[in-house]
Amino acid sequence: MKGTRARSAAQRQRPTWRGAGLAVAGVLSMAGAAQLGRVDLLVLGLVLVLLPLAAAIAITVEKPWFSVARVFESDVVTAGETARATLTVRNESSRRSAALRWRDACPAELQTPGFAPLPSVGEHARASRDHTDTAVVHYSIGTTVRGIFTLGPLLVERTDPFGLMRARYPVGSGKPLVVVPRVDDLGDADLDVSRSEGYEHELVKHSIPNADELIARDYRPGDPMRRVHWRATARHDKLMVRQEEPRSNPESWLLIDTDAGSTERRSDASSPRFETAVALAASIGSHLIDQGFVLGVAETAPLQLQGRSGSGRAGLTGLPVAAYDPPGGAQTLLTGLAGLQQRERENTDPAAVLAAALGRNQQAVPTFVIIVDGDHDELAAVSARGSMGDPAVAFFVGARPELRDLFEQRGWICVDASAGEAPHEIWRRAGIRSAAVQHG
Amino acid sequence: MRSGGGRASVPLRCSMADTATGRAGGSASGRAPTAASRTGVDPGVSGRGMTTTSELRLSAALLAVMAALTLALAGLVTGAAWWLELLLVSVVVLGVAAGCRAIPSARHPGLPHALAPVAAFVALVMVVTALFAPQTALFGVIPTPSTIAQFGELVVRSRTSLYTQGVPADPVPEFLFLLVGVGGLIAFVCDLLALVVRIPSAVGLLMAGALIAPAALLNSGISPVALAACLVAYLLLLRADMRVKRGTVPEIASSFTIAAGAIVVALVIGTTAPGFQQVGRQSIPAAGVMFGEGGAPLVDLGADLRRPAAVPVMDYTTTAAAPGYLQMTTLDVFSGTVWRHTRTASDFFTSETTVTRVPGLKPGVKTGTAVTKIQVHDLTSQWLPAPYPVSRLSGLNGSWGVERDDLTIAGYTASTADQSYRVVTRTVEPTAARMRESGDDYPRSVQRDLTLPPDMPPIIRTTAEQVMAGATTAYDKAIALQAYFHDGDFRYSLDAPRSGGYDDDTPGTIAKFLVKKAGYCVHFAAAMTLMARELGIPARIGVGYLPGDVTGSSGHSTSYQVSSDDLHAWPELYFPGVGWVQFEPTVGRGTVPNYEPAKSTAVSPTDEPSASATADPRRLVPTDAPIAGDGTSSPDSVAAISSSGTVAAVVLLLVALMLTPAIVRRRLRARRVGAVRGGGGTATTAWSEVRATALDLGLAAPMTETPRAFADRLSRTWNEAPGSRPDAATREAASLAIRRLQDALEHERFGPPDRSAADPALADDLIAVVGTLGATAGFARRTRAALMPVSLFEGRTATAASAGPVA
Repeated sequence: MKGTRARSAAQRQRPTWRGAGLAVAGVLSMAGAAQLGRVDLLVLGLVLVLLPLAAAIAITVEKPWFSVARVFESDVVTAGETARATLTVRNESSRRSAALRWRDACPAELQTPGFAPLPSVGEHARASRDHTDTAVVHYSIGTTVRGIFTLGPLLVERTDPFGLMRARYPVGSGKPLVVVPRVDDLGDADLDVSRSEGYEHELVKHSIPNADELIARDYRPGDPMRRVHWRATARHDKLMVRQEEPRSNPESWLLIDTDAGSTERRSDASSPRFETAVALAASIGSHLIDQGFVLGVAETAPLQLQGRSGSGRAGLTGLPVAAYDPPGGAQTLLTGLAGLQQRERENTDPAAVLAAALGRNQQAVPTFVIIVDGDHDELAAVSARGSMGDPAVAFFVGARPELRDLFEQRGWICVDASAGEAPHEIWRRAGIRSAAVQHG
Repeated sequence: MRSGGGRASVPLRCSMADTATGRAGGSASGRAPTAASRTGVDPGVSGRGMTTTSELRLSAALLAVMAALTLALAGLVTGAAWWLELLLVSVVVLGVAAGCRAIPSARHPGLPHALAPVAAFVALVMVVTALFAPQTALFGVIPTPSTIAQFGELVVRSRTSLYTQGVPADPVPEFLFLLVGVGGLIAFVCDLLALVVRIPSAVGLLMAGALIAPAALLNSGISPVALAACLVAYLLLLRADMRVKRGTVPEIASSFTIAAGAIVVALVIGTTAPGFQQVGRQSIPAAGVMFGEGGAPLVDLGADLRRPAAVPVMDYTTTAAAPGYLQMTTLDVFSGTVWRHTRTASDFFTSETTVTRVPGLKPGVKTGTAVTKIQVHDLTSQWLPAPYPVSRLSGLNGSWGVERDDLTIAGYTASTADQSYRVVTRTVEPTAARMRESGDDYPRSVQRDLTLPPDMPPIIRTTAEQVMAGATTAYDKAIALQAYFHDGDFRYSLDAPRSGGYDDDTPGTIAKFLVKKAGYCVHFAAAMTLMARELGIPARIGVGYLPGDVTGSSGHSTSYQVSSDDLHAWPELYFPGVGWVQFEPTVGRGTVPNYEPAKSTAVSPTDEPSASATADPRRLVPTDAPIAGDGTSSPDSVAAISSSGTVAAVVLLLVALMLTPAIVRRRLRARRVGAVRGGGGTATTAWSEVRATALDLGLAAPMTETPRAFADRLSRTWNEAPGSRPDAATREAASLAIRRLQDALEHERFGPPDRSAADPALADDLIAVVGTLGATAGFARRTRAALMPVSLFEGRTATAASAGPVA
């Protein structure tokens, strides 16, 4: 029912300024005619009043009947970049289309061009061979903020031949466009990857058992002498060394504070802070994945992100976290972050989730917490797990002095960030490299 | 899909396709629509972003506007010279501007456009100079200071001409100058508005302003035809503008439908609406009466009398026992088309004056005195209403003049509006005997009141001679003429002359009036005046007001109120030694003067009327309202009833005609559904109904499309329809239904030939599909489909083709 109303609102005919002016002049003229009893004024007034009415009837009767197919050049674009859309508009009616203007309906966050003339397309019946019933139009979409936006339906504006009335019709349905957050380059390998050996050890099963279970490889310059595998060397008649155990997936953890918090703390300014947090999360997340980490992302509000399918491989079954694998996980993470929103707090326990996740590693793993508006008590509980992370970094987007004190006391590297700050600036202030060296 | 080639060129077709600059798609296919909408700027396009063709189209539409305006002015000035000159100046102004814009200028693209208005104005000045003051100008076209002086003189002269000329005016140079000059300026401003300021719709305001002149001056206002022409021209302009702004689709059919529909309906309603009249001047001020400003006073009078609602114009109190007519002026010169007042030497005064002489009156005639205090309300005129003849006048504002020949009191720096003044009248009470012996020794000053226009129809003379048979003296002749109008054949009617086409006071219309014997005071007065002149009696027409209605009395003075309905015209005849004597030929208006001593008991010319004239002797002032009601209203209302009956019948017939296709279509559908349901129909029957419904709703249903493709397209139609109507369940059901229909059809067409009748359940599927299609299309389209089922006209070929494979 609501949809019907929205549709009829889009179709409602409105007089243009010209049409309204004509109608008003007509009413005035008819009033004058009634006062003076003049036929000429009466005829004039009637014509001026009837013209917009006739125009309204005409554009009601000759409603455009189109179908539209919308193709984006890329379904995923980075905020700040320009997306391009191609619309194939097809006339389904048995008449040639009138002079129309078109524009794609779009949310306010996107910049799309206004109404543009639609080329006249021929009737459907004639178009079996030459496609004269089809028009292809392009437009570009300027993006500034991340998000998942629905573009469409196509709005077709019909004006009568004299420009007295106009009506807008929606054609077709919308299509989502994913605008992912912009990712800052956070520099080269700052984190000592080897520090996180991972807990998942690859088990290579050999179908044909042989004497040497151990895998040997060719000697390469620089290999320590103690790793030379003499037996294999003898058998191969060349210097062989013991193969290192293949490194398993080192883990890293990110907690994003998606909790909208209590109402008094939430202000209008919270949204840019959250945007900064998401941008920071996007940059850190892609950085970590690029570095070869498996990234687990937890949220303080109910889970919105979706990681790889079958997250059981990382042993995360049952935990409300999303996991992203290198090398392709960064794109999935960004797509997920595009739609991330602050939510009203529900009963999740991020500290427990984090503790469970970190607890399965023998060693401390890189852990990052991005705090925006979340509940004080829950985040305080998170701070208690600082020892399980190395480095353990907490970013505070917006001032949370008590929490900050708490985190600092418990050994977290605390970084203050303000809304709108670039992620690489914030990252630089974290000073991860020195921290890693210091811990090492 | 984009590499299809055929399609790719479509979106980038230049928005001004008529410039033939459509670009091939591939190279520019990456442009944003903002760019696409600006493609018109690229090639072959002027610097202002409008193509030369669109500018020419706008200019042509402006020319049509000017032509329509000149059409509306027809009747203001006689002859065709003004029309040609007006058209010429419009063509020159618009043509020079358009030509300037069409000049291709590579180096300064904006220059021709900037120069166009200047060039147009220069052309306007030169054309006007060449037409009206070529001898003062260099090379006949370049104006000099003396040209400007001549123009100034023309303007001054036109002011006096406006005063003396009626409608239609003679084509004197000063009028032509005014018309052509103002017309040229209008064309120039139109060009500015439409092509420089780019608000073509504002031209409508200018047109309305220009149309005020004919509306105010022409007898019957603007003719509906001229008005329709103006509207059509304006719509052409709007259309040209929309083609500039919204692309090039001609949309001729829908433009024509909208314009013709609105104009025809308005004309039908407007010309048949009761209570509205084709009135011109006179009725412009709703409250007040404007009288005698320029124009022809006598013709105005009819328009004023036909006013839908009378307005009070003045109150007065008089000591006269029976008040006379309140004379404003006299019309003595007939210019060929209209009666005019001739100004004679005046004595000027402010505030008050005394007039000693009554024209033509010699001692020996009984005179009296009456005092009248007049308060004028809503009457604006240069002429002061006062009982004739005036001997003393006081209390006026402004400066006035009394004309010596007919005692017309004309205002020079004032008008009658809201004047309050006191008039002492020297009432002349001539006797019939005195007038019988007056003889025919007419002084030179009344000689011009004997002049007759050259082309008098003979019927006026023959009628006059027939009527006066036996009368010897001028007075007897006059009485005979007056009696002729009262003998019972003549009828008072405000509308008969108009409907009979002789609402005028030229000799031709008077001749027609004598035949038709129906008219109002103007016709009676003009007829008697012309007949008296034919018989050699000096005569003129008096114009003024009837005494009006008594509102009260105190002592020996009586108060009266005069309304706009009391406007009147009457003949005045000259008798030497007595002067001008009023007569009353008009049936049912005013009072018939009786100068016979036997019956004359009182003092005034308008004393007790003879029994034959009016039944009620106390009704000194029979206003025309009841009589007009008797004479015109009842036939009118009968005509109105019968005409409204006709209108209703026509409307009913039209409605019936309009509904016929709808009824036929509904019956066809009912028959098809019934056939399928009854087991007698085939799947083809059901399918042709689906196709017909799609066609009715405006969807394409090409013959070449396979049933499967058609079914796919239909289900896409409702599945992809925006909004929630039809709802999802209906969509689902309809998709299944059309699939079943299609299966049945395919089995029937391509399967073994033994299946003759379709499953009756297909009828429900058919109804579901048809209903869903209708719901998808929406109310407007559904209504159109019901009223205009196009499938009816495609039906024969469709069934023939679809019947082929079955047989």
